[in-house]
Amino acid sequence: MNIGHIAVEPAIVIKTRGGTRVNEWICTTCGTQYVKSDAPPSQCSICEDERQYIGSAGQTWTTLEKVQRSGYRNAFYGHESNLIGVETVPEFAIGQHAKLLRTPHGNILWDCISYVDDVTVDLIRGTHFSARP
Amino acid sequence: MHPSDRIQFWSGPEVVLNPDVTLHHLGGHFAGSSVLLWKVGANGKGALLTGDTVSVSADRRFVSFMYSFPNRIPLSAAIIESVRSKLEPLSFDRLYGTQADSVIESDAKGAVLRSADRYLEALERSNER
Repeated sequence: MNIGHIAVEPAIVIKTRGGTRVNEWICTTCGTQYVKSDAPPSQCSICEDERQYIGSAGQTWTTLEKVQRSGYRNAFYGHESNLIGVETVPEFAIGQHAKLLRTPHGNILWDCISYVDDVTVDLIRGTHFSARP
Repeated sequence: MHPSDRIQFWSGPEVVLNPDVTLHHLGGHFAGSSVLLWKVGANGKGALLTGDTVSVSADRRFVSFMYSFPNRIPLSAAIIESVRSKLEPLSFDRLYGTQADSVIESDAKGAVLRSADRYLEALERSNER
């Protein structure tokens, strides 16, 4: 659509039960998500640290909605009984994996990944011990 | 980052999450770097989940410890000794790093201690070989 002379891309918002998460910017290099802001942050404090790096194309940002519309999925694999690996495919950011540890006292997610969607939430909730008959 | 009232910070050498799981502060990679000990993992012998704090090497027989992995900045002898001393009391046979295949299947505790010793020897070495 056009507002005055400015072409504006219509907002595409994927409905999720967690509510919409527009303008919560994710650094494409390290995968860190920042608090909501109209414009992307001026810099990524993780990538500015001497332990990290800014990609050769410069600082770039995305959002979870864009990543969800770009064909990313989470894949699950078994390490051993009650320990499940979670990997975003294709690789996103620095290729982080998460580990889902099931215990009779509750589930623990160890390590962080940027990508999440409803099916990931459903599958993780379904692994809770009390969710099993 | 994303502030949330559901994030709880902790301090001290360890925190008990439940009867099977404790978190242990090691430092090193980051000042607050910690590992997760799953006491009943690895068929009851204990499994350690380490992320990048204890990094599984390509041969899956050793681990390493770094201040920065992408920029290749090592840690000092004093910090390696500190990290080693915090891992030594923990009981575990298996170690899970970051990726699907970064796993030391058995004798991981021995591998960790041998790796720390090898790191310290490398820092002290004066002759090329």
